[in-house]
Amino acid sequence: MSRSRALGWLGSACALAATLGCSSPSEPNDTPMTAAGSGGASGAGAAGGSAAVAGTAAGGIEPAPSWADLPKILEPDAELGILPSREAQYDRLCKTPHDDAFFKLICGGVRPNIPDLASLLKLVGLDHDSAFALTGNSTSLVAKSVSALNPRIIVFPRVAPTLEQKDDYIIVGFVRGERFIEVTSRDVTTGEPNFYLITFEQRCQYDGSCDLLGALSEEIEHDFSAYSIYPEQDLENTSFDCLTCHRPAGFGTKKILRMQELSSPWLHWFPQRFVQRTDSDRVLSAQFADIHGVDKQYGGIPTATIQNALDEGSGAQLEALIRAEGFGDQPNAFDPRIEAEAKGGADSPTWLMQWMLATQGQAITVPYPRADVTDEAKRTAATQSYKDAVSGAAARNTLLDIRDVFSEDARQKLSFVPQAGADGNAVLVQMCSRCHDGRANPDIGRAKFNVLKLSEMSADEKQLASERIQEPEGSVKRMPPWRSGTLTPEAIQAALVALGK
Amino acid sequence: MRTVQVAKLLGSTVLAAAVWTTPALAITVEITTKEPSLVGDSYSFSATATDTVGAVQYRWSFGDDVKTEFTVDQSQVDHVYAKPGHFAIAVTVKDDSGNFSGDTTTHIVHYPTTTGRPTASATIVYDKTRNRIYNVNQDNDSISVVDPDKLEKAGELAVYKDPEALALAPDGKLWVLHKDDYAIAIVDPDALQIERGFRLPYASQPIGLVISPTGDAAYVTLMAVGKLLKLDPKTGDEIAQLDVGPSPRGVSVSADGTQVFVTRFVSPTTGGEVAQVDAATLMVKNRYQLAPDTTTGDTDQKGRGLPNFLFSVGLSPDGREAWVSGKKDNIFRGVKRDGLNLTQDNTVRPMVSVLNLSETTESLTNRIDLDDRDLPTYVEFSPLGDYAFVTVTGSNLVEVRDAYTKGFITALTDAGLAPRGTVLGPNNQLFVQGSMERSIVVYDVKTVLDSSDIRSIKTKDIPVVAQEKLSPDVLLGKQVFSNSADGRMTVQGYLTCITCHFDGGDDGQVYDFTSRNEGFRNTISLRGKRGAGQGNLLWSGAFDEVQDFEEEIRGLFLGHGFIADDQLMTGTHAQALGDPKAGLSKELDALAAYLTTLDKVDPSPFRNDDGTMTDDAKAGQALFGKLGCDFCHAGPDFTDSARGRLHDVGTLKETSGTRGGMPLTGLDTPSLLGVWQSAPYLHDGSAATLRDVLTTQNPNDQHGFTSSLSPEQLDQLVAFLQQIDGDQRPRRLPFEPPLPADDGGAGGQDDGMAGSGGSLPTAGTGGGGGTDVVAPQAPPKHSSSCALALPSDSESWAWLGLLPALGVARRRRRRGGSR
Repeated sequence: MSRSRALGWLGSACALAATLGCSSPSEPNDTPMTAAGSGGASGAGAAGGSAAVAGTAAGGIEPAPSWADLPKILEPDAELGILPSREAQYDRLCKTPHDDAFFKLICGGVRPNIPDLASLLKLVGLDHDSAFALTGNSTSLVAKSVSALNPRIIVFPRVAPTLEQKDDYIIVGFVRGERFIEVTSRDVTTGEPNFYLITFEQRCQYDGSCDLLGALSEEIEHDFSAYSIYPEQDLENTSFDCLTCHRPAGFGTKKILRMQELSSPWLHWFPQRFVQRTDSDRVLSAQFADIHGVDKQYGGIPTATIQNALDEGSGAQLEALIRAEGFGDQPNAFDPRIEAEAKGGADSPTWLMQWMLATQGQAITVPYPRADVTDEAKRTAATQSYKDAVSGAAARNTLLDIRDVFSEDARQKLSFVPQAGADGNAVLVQMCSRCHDGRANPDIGRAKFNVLKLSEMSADEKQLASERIQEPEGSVKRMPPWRSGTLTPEAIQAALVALGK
Repeated sequence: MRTVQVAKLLGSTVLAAAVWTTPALAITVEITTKEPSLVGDSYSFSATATDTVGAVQYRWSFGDDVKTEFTVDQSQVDHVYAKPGHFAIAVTVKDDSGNFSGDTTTHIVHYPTTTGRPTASATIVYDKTRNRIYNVNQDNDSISVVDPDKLEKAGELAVYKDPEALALAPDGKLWVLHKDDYAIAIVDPDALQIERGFRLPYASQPIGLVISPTGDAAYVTLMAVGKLLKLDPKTGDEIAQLDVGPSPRGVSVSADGTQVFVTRFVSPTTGGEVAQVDAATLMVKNRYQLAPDTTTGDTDQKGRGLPNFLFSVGLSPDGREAWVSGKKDNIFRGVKRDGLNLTQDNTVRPMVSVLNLSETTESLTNRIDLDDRDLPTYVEFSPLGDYAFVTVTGSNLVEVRDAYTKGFITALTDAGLAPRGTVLGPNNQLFVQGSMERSIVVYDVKTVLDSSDIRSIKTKDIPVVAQEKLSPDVLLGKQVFSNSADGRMTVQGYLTCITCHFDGGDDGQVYDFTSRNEGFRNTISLRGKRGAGQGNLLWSGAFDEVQDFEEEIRGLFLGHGFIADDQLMTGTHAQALGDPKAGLSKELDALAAYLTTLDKVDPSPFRNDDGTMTDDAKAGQALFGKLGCDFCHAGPDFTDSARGRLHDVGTLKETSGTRGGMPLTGLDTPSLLGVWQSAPYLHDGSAATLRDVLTTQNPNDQHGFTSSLSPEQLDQLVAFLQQIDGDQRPRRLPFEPPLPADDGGAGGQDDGMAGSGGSLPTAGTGGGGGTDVVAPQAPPKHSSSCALALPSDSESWAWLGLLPALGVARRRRRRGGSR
């Protein structure tokens, strides 16, 4: 088989790919290679199929400007804000070598300029020989932000159908709403993925002019003024801890790439026309197209490319990468039978079994049993609001939060809220076990509280937990962290009873 | 059932004659007339009585319910038979002293035979002029010569790849047809050398070859392309061609040369088919429909079934009938079809269909069900047409049938493993090609032919292959694959692997294997699969090694099994996906070894003549990748079966059943290698064509987003699928000129043949008309097609066997040969 491997949604990638003989411009259904709004990173193009080679072989990585004179962020993230940032964090990062392509790219020479999301993709070589996948439902750190209206995008290197492991990889994940980007890259020495969080800054953060539209529209993908990169070790004692999900067997065990909906029918992945077209594609792609038809890009990818994608993007290709990396056995993998069982609104016994495991703290939350997590009325309103705001038909400040579209059923099944009527123990296990189940590094504070061994917790620990769940909204100390879920007043009371025993 | 066979034997008229006991009396009588007679002719029977006293009275019985009363001096009596048959003639005499005596004989009454004999495509022929038997050795790429008097091998000639048939031309040359090399070699029988050769259309799978009894034409069936070629028997030039229909195989010509009969090897579910072609116009004159039998009650001696695997047409010497050998696939039976389990008696049954040529229909009442047999492949008639010798390949025997009653007469057993054809030679000898035994088995059938005794004598088993190409384990495996006479394989001899996978292919049918813990299952071709080399086996992936078929051997075939019971019961050996069965049985390991050698599929005739893909296919290949088809149909095998994953592509139905009794969540991805010839498609055969797979059977795009394709793109994708064959290239044959880019070798699969197709001589292009005497050239070292290690002397390596009998050594000396 000698089919084209080129994807290239960036203009310059086309020329590069063609030079490499990887692309057939006349290939049927090829999406025209249009710029994705990247104005920067010129000359920083990747030059090879290998991510490690990508940034360096060209030898033209544009250095980032000095950030020394940039103003401070007025409202930094409560947890990240206490960590070093900008050059200081860069220096700190690069002093602790990691044997992965991303680290080498970032720390291998100059501090690269990353003026926008598309430039990052280009920098790490994901502007060619790559693919993307969007998910309309996530169980990750950003779960509460993710629907087809505000999907999480993952951009990754393509894997051959033979599922041969690539020499290395860099994978980028992003969802609009917050100014950070997730990155993972295989450590050549350990063979395990290393995880990074890139926080980026935008000028609105210096003068307090940031608004919802700036966070949820294409604006968030452009005009980065600075960035900070945190390796997983730095995040271990924060709610950003990558390893709560990516080290499922606990501290000291192997890290993995996760894709719970690994196999067909990729219920929440879209576009999904590659290998087979699924109901998720029909439902979620349509919702996405409806709201983001007004955008030029999403996640650094032209929206036209997303909407017309065949092999350019799909859950199937992400599955291929995950399998090629040897992570075909996913813990508590989303069972492909669920879709069929849940069709027509029926309860899926298979899903219920998996959900029970999750609520008992034996696995992370299981994805929603149906493709669409949204409430139709909320979705319709949010979609219209977004289109109006972006197009200028309505004022910016009229924008509804397009993340707040979940149906009540989805909120419960995704454990954003505890099960109705659950007792205190059940509430604590369901809402807290993801991070407090004894799997964390025992040296960090979080590890002291193990919701699965509540009876063994000291009174002081329980008291501390009681205080944390009663912290006011907006408090950095409030548990669970807002990204994870919310306790209803009834749930709090129930939890307090359990903690008081 | 065997008990019934005995009953049949006892009921046979021939046997009845043989067991007649004459009372010991003073007078004796003998029927002196032994010659056969014709239907409708008056025939005078004579008897001679001796030691009689006084007047002698004769009483005659003619075996057709006509008798005379005792009549004085009626030693000669005329009788007219209204129908043909083998009639038990009895005469009783008595004299004045009251002495009685009697005599019996079997009298043959037959229809007039035609002038000359019809001809049929054959694997073994008799050269009356030279008094030699020739046969093909399919696996060993050679032909052998047997001296029918000395009953010994007289020589062996290396020919091209996969010789499947041979025929004697009017000029005395021997034509040898090669399937894999799609070529004909014309052999000088005297020198036993290939005199010249020519190609047939690329990848066309020529399989049947016959030369008209009138000598004016040769006919070749091209199984892959559905054509019948008419060639000039002098030059090989194409005279005409006919799109005769899919998978033409057997071909025969009537004695007068005016009618050509062609079988369709793999049948559609609507029925089997034999085309009758007018030789002069090469147009189809009639299509005999061999109707599916849906009404016969399934018993242990008969059953329903769809006529299939129609190997050949045996035309009777009287020109009245054509016997078509094949099988009946019981695709009407099954838990989900009629509520009945498949059984070893009623999954597949052997069949010979009888065509009434004057009425141009199949004589359904005469359709023969061969009890306890497997896979009849060839029919040879006795000279008078009164007996038919039916080669039963899977049963290792030749059945003799009364051509008129269709009844069983006798079986010539031990006919070599997997006999493929017979020919009557001199001295009433029947020569049988035992294809898997690598021998010619000889029977003296004189007493059968003259109806004096049903016993036949196996006189010789003549080895005909000097250097076996297959390794011992592979050969054993192929023998196991073909042998349903082995009680370990099957209890009553109906089923073995070739029953549905002849030559490793498929029978194009869908069986209801629900009772076998599966479901509706479309027979899978084994070619290119390398045994379990591509991954798990069965549509459900329920087996992970060839040896797992022990389960079917015991469960469906009711064979004793090849693995000892105690071994099978140890650990989880008994489970298909349990402990490995490899190493537990020499035969099953050999079977696996043989299947592993099936590492190629047939080249696709949809490709260009040089084996390259067409432009449409190349465009389709890009679409194949664009749509992600290659994520499941991955890698060089076009399957991800080795990953052990199952896929639901929207084709599962209630009839899809289970996976070895467990829920069926998806299907093992079938390889697309050779998919052009494995219709119907999908696990349940629900797609008749590849286009159906992509369109009507893919309504929700679960099997690729094919609804996004334009009609043109769909054509391109189909074109690509039709050309997935492992990118084989034609190997160079000795008569073909070297290419400028060639390395000077004789050519192999990858010898840079691209672009050379136009220069190859093909039938009809005149390329075969040269007179060059070309001996096969030594194969290149890297060639996988000719594995024999042979001397470099092209003439000497053409010889593999014995030479002196043909006087070739002497000729060589005259020609200054080195040996």
